[in-house]
Amino acid sequence: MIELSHVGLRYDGGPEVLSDISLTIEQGSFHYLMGSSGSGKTSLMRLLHMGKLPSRGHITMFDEDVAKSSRPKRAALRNNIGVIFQDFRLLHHLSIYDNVALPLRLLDQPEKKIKSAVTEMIKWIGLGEYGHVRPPFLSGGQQQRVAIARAIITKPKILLADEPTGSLDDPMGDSIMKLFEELNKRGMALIVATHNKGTVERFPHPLLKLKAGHLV
Amino acid sequence: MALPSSHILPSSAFRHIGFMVLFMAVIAGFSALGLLTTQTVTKSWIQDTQNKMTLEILAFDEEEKVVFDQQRIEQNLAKIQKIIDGDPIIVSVDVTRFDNADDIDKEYQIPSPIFMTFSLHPDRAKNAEQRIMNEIKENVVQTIFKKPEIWQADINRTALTFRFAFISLAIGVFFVTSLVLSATIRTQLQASDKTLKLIYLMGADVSIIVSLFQRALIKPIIWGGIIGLICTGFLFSPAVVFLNIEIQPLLFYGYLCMIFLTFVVVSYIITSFTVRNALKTMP
Repeated sequence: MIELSHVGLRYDGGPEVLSDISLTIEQGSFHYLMGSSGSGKTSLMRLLHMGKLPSRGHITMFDEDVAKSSRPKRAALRNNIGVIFQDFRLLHHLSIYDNVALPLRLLDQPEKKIKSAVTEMIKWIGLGEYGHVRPPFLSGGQQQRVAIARAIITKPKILLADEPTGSLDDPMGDSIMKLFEELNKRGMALIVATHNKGTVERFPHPLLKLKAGHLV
Repeated sequence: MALPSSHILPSSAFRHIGFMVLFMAVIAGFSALGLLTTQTVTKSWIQDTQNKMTLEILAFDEEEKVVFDQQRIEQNLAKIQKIIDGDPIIVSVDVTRFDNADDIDKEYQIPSPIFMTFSLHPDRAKNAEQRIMNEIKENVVQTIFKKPEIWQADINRTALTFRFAFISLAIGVFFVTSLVLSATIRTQLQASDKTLKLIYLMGADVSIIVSLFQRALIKPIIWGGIIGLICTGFLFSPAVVFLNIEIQPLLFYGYLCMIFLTFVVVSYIITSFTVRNALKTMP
């Protein structure tokens, strides 16, 4: 589904923050991405959701060479990728409903379809009664759930989560991980960047370890 | 349903653009009225000069640097009238004297020139004017003739200057509008940077972001443009009536509609260009 071959990344002509990364992400797989601060986790996540293009090497996503694809083609490829940011990046001036509906509206879906999908999704994350509430009035865990709902509402083939449990206590973090496992069982591939060893032990999956920009 | 632009851009983002377009529409409307008036007046003046020839009996001798007395000027007039009397190609003659000269002219007895306008027969021979000019010049040296073509060239030159000024004004209006729009869009792009990056990473193509900005801008441009053009109508209609300018209303309103459409088209192009240019570094 996604293949990285000898990929390197540098910012503005600086030193390489990622070097010679080669990996394959298969459909329905679940990987943790681990590494200390500054090891390149966030940079690798950026490459995976095409927030950056590689300085060298090749990334193939859904049979398309990312660097050679046109911008509209890349935009279409991004529709297959759900991203959960460490800081959630919810739009605070919009309600929970409108935040979750955002990706569907970008896809020009009919409002009737959006309403049924978003209502169902908000119920599934356990925030059925909070649709009209704006994110600042929710707890960190609830905001995280909204970010997950927004990332998966378009049923992407792969979900990238950057430190999804970083700011949550263990019970809340575990409930998020259970949501991820449920999504994985439905066939969605997941890459979860974390440095929480407890989570990795309680929910064991293959590890991708990064050290100083290299996969080890 | 397309993503409402208010979800991404604050509703107040482009509110002041409407006021700018309103103001600019009034200026562009003034420019359109100026163009039309120039066109109408020029046409009327050109018609007035057809089959007309003018003659100025000078009040001084340019070569000798001598100022004539009024009596001599009157004598020259009498000579000319005698020459043209009964000429079949001259239909009528208008003589214009400057009796309302300044008090200072009267006090120092400064003589005034006399202007004559000849209405010529439309079916005259090709060299008829030249024949009359030669006959008069032989008898009265101190005269200046102007044939219709010379008047028409003068009128056209003046009209061209006015047209250039009014068209420059209209171009200036659209240029300033484009600059302000571009600066406002850039500011808004910076202010909404995080949100725009977010939707970009969600799969929004640049064209979707361009369309968000265009939809956010179209409302203030439409109301600003319409109110501006209504104001133009109210402001300038009394002037048209008062000055008795004969312009075709349909043509005037046609111009106003064209201005409105130009504002919309210019805004769309500038928005697209500015947003695409600002987002060109996005992967």
